[in-house]
Amino acid sequence: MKTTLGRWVFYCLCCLSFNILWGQQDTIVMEDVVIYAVRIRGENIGGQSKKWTSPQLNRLAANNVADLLQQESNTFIKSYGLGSLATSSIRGGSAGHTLVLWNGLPLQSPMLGLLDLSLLHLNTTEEISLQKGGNTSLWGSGAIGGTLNLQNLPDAKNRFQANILSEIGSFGRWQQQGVVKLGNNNFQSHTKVIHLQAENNFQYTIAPDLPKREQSNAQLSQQNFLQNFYWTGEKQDVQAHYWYQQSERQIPPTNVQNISLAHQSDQAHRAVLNWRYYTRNSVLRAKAAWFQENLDYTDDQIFLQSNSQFTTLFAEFSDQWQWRKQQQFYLGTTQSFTTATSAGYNDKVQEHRSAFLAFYQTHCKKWSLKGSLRQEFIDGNSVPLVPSLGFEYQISPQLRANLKISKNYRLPTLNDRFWRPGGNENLLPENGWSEEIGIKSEFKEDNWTLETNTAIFNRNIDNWILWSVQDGQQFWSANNIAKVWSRGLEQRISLENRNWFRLILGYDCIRSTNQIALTLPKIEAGSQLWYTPEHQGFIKASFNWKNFAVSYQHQLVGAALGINENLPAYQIGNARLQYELQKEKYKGQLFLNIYNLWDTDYFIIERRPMPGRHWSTGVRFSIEKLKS
Amino acid sequence: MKYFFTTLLIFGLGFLNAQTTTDFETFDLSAGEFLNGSDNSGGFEADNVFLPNTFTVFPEFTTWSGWSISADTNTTMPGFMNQYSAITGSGFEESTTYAVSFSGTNLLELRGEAAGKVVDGMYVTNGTYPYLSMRDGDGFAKKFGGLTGDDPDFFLLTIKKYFEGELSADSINFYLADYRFEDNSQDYIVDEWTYIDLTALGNADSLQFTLTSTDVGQFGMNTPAYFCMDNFTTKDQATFTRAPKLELNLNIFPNPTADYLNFNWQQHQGIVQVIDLQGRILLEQILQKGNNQIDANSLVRGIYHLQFVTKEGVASKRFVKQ
Repeated sequence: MKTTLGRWVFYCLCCLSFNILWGQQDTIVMEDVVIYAVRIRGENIGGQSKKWTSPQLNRLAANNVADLLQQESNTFIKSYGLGSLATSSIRGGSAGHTLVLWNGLPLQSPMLGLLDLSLLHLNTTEEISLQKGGNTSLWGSGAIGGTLNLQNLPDAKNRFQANILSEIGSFGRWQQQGVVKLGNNNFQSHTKVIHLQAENNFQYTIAPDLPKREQSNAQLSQQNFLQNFYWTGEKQDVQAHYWYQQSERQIPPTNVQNISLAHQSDQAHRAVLNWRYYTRNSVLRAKAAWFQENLDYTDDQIFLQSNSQFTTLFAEFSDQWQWRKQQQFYLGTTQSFTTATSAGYNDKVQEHRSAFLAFYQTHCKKWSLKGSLRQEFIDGNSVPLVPSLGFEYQISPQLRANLKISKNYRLPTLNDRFWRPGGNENLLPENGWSEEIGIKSEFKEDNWTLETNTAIFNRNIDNWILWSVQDGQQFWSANNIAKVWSRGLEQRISLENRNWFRLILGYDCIRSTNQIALTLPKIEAGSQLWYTPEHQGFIKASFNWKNFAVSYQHQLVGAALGINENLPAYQIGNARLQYELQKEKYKGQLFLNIYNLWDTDYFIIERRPMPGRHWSTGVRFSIEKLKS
Repeated sequence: MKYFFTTLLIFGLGFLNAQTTTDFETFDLSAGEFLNGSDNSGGFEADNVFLPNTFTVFPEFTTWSGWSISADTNTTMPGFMNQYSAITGSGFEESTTYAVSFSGTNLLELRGEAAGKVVDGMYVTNGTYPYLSMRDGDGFAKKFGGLTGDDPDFFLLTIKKYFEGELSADSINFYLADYRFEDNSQDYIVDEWTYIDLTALGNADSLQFTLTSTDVGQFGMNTPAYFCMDNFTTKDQATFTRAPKLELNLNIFPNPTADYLNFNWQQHQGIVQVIDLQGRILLEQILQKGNNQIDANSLVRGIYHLQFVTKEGVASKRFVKQ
């Protein structure tokens, strides 16, 4: 008994100290004690963060990261239609201003500088976190509007888990998933297979008195295979991840186009090897990764075939120390080498990025502070040093204030630099300062919790890269010609009874304006960026009763400017009904999702219609055996 | 009196006979062939007209604008890979060769006997690429009429003239596609060679062609900016007297030039102007007896005229800025 109690106390102490030191995803086995702690690099001190864990993700009507951000974080998703390209605009930034990471490494195509969020299936990961605001000094190029991290995590308590899901839905949607997790304290193996296919042949309105038109050439087929291995030793651990993605999709015509025969194929192989070594006061990390992706676009109608491919090798080293339990210091470097081929390039191109990063973080009783610095070199040329400073202060038990100032940048993409014609090897990084302040409150009584969160941000980006026609040129070229000022207010209020009810209201007002007038493209000084609504709001209510759960989410999106036409405001509602049953190690879930419940006709991109009311229903079954 | 009538008769006969129709058949193309300026000649000269062309070579990529000469016959393939063909599949009256214009704003220079004279007219039609784009839509451009067929779309060719360096205010409009009719059955996209009478423009040194469309976005016009032309007919006869032509016997060098132009001036006092193909005066300086130098560094690459203006008359020389 004494031994058990002592072990428990020791375990708690370790948890406490390592929570401060490392954070929850670093896993250490000390004898038979397993410690989880937050990765401190991922702590967004002074900024706004949100995190979704795997059990939470399994209870959402969202299928991919684009759905998740749209439904759960009020992020504007620029979607070209069901199953089509979807990118994000966070805090009035461009698609390239959201940095997407997988286990800490950037997933963005170095050729395009962006990532199609509709390809990121939620069940490929155990945890998704969103950090709003500038984070370039910590995560690198592109972390201007926000940073999204998809993390694979071990579960040392797990001995065996099998999880299958089968789902059908409107427009020929059919999805199967299978997950097998097995292991012991020292070793875990997670295998995931996901298949999704859909016809996406929804009907959309042309005019009230005319028959609807059926979307054509919109088939989709996605496959994901993930294999994760986790080995944990006495003072070190190793994680190995492999992710294969294959997506085949037809590109549907616009609503003012009779026919499309375009087709896009995306294929990705990603492998990461991560090693950590623990001493009494430090953690030494080394990471190596290999990403290879192909994107093939064909259009048989116009005899167009465009193939592109890139390979990126990553190497990352870091050391992290702690003093007096509350203070941590981190020093690291990331090296990446990319080669890319495309019909648009003169030859195979390559890029070497070398970044050096340091940060200091401290948590005191009433306040927390984080300061960081990053120096990056691109093919030997230095990018200006970027600092960041975040601060949080506990005003009272209910009130906490935050402040963050950071300098951020986005490096030109390979297409910006090397595309022929128009690529410009002399492009400068987009860069500028971001500032934000916020205040959070939390009031608890019995089972009820009322939370509010208000944030105000300001950001100026110079040398914004735009493809434009310059005097004397006959073609479009990439130039550092724009300057964009973004500022706004984000407000969240939530009321929760931990037994049966949760209500969240959110409103974002974002002005993101071009500060310099241009002729081609036609831009007026002071005009709002295209596809960036100034007003967005949402309300989400969830109820639990016995084994049932029902949720409804209503979203309001203000009018936005488009390239060809202006887009009117719209509002849509999504609902989910779920029944869960657990008996010992068996768990079952039945669910029904209804999307666009009110059958609204709307567009996010002009000429790209969105589907009316549609649904999906499915069953999830799992068997789980935990450490006894 | 007799002398007067004889003169009038000769003038009249001369007027009747002085007409040239440029049908581009002299380029001797076979069906399916085209000339897009890849020889860097800067344009195509046929009879009394010069059709400017700009052809730029990049590694593994070329681009052109202005005019091409084509005998392409493909009337079914959509997209820019089929940019040289007319929707008729041949020239006017099933001739082999025709001209293709690609530019939001394009020019045609009148030369020889036609310079400064009246243009009778020309035949135009749509290129296959814009025709199919307007009929069916594509990834960038809308099908005309829009979702319901009721959108009042149009694709308009506007023709103006330059005369003595000035762009005319008057213009002739020709709708290559017109969907503005109340009755949608009357909407049309031109698919035949159609004559445009240009005599109302009067005397001209060059013609300016501008394409506009209702399908326009922040990145410019979405409708592909092409049209095709054939049987361009000049009257080769002025309707009124223009400034006397100055006899020039001088050499401008180097031509083409990357920076400076030099010439030796031994005639009367006056000015020299650098004029672009739109007729805009870009540079102007007083002519000095002896050696003169023009600083062309500020000019973008292209074709220009050096116009010499004296009280005895006007003359011009063409040069190329590299």
